[in-house]
Amino acid sequence: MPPDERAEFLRRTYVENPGLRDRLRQIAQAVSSLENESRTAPLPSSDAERARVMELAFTHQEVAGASIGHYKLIQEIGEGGFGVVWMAEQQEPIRRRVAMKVIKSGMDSREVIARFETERQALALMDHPGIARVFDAGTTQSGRPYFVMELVRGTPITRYCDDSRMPVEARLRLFISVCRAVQHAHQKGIIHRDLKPSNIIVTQHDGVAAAKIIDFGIAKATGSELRERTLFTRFHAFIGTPAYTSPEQMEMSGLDVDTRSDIYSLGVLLYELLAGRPPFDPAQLLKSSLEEMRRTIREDEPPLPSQSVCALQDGQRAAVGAVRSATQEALANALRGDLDWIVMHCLEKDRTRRYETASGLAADVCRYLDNEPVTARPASTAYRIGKFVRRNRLAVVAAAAVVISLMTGLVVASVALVRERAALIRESTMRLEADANAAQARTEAAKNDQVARFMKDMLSGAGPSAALGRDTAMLRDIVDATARRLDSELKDHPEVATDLLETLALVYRDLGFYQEAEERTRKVVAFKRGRYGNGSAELADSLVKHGVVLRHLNRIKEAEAALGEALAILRALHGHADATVADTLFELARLYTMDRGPGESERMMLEVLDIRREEFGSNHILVAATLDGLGTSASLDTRVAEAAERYSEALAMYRQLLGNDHPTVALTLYNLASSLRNEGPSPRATAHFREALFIQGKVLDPDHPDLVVTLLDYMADIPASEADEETTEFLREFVARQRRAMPRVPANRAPALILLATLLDRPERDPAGAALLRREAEDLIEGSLADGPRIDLGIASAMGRFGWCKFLNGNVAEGLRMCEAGVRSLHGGTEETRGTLTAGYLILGWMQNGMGRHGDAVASFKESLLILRARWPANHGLLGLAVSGLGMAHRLTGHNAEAQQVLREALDVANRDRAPNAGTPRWLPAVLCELGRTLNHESSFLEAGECFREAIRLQDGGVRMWSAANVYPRALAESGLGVALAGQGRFGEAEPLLLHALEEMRKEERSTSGYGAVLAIEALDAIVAFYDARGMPEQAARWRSSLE
Amino acid sequence: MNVDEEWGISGERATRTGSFPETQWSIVLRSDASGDTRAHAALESLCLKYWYPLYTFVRRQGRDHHEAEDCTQEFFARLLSAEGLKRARPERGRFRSFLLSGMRNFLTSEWRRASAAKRGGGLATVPIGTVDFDERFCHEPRDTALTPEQAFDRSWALGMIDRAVGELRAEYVRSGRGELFDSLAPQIWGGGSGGTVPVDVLAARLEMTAQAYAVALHRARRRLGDRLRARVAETVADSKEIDAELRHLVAAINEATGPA
Repeated sequence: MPPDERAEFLRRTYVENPGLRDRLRQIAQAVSSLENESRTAPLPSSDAERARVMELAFTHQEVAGASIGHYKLIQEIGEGGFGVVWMAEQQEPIRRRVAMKVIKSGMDSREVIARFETERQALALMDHPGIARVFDAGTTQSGRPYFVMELVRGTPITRYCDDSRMPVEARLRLFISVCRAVQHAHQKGIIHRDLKPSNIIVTQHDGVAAAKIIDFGIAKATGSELRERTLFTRFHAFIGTPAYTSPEQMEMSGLDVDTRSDIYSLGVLLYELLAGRPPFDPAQLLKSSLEEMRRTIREDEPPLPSQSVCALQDGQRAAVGAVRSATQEALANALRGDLDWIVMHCLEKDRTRRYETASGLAADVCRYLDNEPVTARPASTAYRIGKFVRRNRLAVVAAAAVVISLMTGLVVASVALVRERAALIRESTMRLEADANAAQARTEAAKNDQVARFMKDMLSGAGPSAALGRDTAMLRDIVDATARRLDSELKDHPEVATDLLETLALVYRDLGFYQEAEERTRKVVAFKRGRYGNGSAELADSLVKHGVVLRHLNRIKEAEAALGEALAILRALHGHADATVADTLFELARLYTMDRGPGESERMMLEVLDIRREEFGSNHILVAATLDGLGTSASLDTRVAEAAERYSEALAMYRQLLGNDHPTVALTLYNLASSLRNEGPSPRATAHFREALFIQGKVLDPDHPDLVVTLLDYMADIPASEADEETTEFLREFVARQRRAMPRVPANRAPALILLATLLDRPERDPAGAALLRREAEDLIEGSLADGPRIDLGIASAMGRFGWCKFLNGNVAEGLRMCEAGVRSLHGGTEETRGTLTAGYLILGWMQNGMGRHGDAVASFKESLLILRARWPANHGLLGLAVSGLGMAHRLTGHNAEAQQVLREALDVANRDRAPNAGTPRWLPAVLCELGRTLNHESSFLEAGECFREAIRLQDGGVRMWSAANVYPRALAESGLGVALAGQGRFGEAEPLLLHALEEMRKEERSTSGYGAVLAIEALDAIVAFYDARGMPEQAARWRSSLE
Repeated sequence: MNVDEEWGISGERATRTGSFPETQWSIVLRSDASGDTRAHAALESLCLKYWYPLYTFVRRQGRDHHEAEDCTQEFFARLLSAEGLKRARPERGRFRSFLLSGMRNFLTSEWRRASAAKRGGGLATVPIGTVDFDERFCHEPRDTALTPEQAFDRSWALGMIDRAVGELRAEYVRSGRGELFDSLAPQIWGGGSGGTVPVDVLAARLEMTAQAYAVALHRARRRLGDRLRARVAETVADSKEIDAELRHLVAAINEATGPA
């Protein structure tokens, strides 16, 4: 209410109590005026701002001229989160100028001093020109702790470097000197804990820059990062320099800070020296809440320094380059590669992965300067290899699986996927734990302290890393150490040792180290055979595990033997309808899917399905897995509708049991889509790929191979010319997401870059950007060939498949680039990669044929056959494809004799080696057609006719290579037969065949295939030649004109 | 103008010299006579500064604006009466805790009686224009995780800051440099990134060199720190407690920001 009214009101109300009235009136006025006063002033509006104001009340308590202890304050020379730095004069015992740091906090100064005292001796031991001495500590009159240090005049290192426009190399040398100083302190047992540019001061001596680190020992004494994280220190964190704080310090969990925290800070320093800004934007960090700040530092992967430079805006980038006396491009190039790796090695979240010592870091920077290979690269990436092999075991596995995954993209038998991929590490460790617990119980009964201790040791090592579910490298180390101890320490406890051995084997298997796993499963089998006898369940159990490991090693025959023996034992023990029997059958069926094609494995899968439904009901994850396996069998047998039904059933079950956002749901969607695509590109397949991609995008990190594979398969059916803005944006974002993280396997990022490049490579978009992306992709691949981890085989397969789909869709050039990159990235690989390489060459050859590069095609097919013949049975499906392709390439380069030779050889093999009950090889029509065309070419029309007839007969009988996108459609055989008949003078029969074939091919051409067009031209040629030969120039001319 | 000279008139220097000056709260605490008018004045001056935090505390107890206003006023009226002064004893510690525990007792015992009496036709209280308080209270972000005590402490800390800023600004305005203060203010608490406008532009607007501006900023920060310290000093009985009280207030601010 207005003042007048209020006065009137007061008068009436308090007329009987004038004293109280007056006082309350005064209060009322005072309160109002106070409120008004603050209202007009600008006020801090957030808690962070308020905290900063509060902070001011802690600083600036001393004045110049005052004396503190033996020191006289002369001049304030600095101010920071900790308090104020004074230049002071020491009076006694010697007169000298010193720096005095008065800590602002009202923390318990006795404790600070006590902590300093414990450090004092160690601090006194430090004697290094790169370290400022700390002389003394005490408390001011008002109880604030202070420290007295060597007075260093100079400029913070980052500013010094920028001001003097220091080039990268000089910066590195200066940085090395900082590392050496830090190393000196570390050797004396002193950790800095608060390394940052303002604590590293550069001065010039005779024109040479020398860095000196100040504040050693202060952070520890003030306890600003120690366990007693009072609310006060939380506030402290707001005004500190979180950008330089290591994740473990940020956690404040009481985890002991050690020298590796300093290594982290050195990494941040190096980052800033190189890229012009720290890995995490300090302004951004200061704006965020403490919780958010912690999360960022603990979890987010900063961009690589080189990417950070590239991401700067033009103006900034030029400036960052200029102060390094380099162009921006030269700068990014200098950082890319080794320097990126060195910095990121320091910035590992897990400190066990950082450089062990500051001198190790310095040595690596020296190696970079001397153009020697740096250790950061192989050392920190080796572990990633195991990781990626593990993730993609299924795509890698057995020989024939390559055919399947390559040509159809199916992920075989995904139950194992569910179990082996999803919670892999956690499960391994749970298993470790469970087994160890069981063994521990046993050994406790035996009162064997030694064994118990052993268990405990092992688990205490494995626990934390496994709980985080991220640290396979650490797990591998622990497992190796355990394996060594197992051999030496548990000699007298064979049963316990065997249990552990088996567990170890499984962990090795899950980590993708099959060789190590196999060594152990083999021992376990031998032990159990001796201990429990030939017909024991124990033996069967270990045989199954052994068999699975063998399958991973592609030792099919042995795997079959082990699983077969296990199956026989289990059936004898439990009858036929038992869950363990079903599990064994399932594994065997998977083996057969890869090795023998779908027929036999399908029968076994059906048996498994019956048992499991009986055992677990119709709604169980194992049932879903079996359905998925059946879907794969059907799909391989080109029974697409049935496959779709199986997959859909499995999918519905998975969705219900696992929820929608689950990797297994995505994989099943992916299988469904791949299967549908065998009928040619379809909107349904695309939609399923899209959903799989969407789920994987949510639940997997962008470097996960499964995600990249789905992306490739999805994009394979979308012609670049039709990709809309949305797709381009999606890819851009995907590439950006990948870039935000440290690459597990750099080469795995090549496909996304190539995809994006293809979309951008149009005049109206960004052809220059596309060229850059392609070069980046090439660099990534070349890098992986040199010494990096190899490309993921699943991804490489998908790259080939992408090429194949593009080829079938008529976008040969687009596919060729991807396929070439895939083949290139597999060069010089291990035995495992060669299977994929074979297929890659094969696809490459077909594409080269399609582009008229028949000479290249010959080379590609030969390369493919070379590997094929060494690895696979002679009647293998890939062989037929390769041989027919090679035959065509030979013929088209004018080497008819060679063409005939390889084709006839293939036919011989097919007839000779066919197992009595095996079906006709699906590639037979293709080879027959190709041979027929070769024969036509040299006018052996009679035999040619036989070949074509046989090819037509087989195809009509259901032997078809590709169900829809037919490289050798029936029409091709018809056309060839037409030519052969015409050659024999049987024109009446030839004419309708030729015309019909052309009509069919033109349909094909219209629907999908650019390759169809190529074939149609050949058919047309044949017709023209036919009418010419018959002396019917009018018809010939008519067809010729349509040929043109 | 000579800044140091001006510094002298701000009257805050005493807190910087080491010996602890008499504060309003120490005066109150040391007084044992109920007729001590100096102590009375000191208490009164203190109380009116902490109206709003107490009001917040009562509101947080679930009472509506009118009752909270009545209750707070009644509480102060009693506190400022002769008996009220006697309650302030050194063992009761800082002024903040003294007020809080006093209000807690008041709410559980006397207020119940007092409001009963009022319903029977007792005294109506003075509305002191605190409708604004209601508005302010209702507009504050309501972190339900805060207890009434935490809300009180937070409000207390915020009041302390706002008052120190307000006073400092008034001082600048008095010496004809309000504009300077308003330009400096966001820099003071901006954490190094006080705004989007570069410092040299800000300086140029005030026809200052960037260096002079930086010096002015440094001084303003110093003074605000001193002001705040002085405000806090006012409410403690011993200079040794200032830092502890400051830490408590910092914690009160951070409590709302997120759990430790």
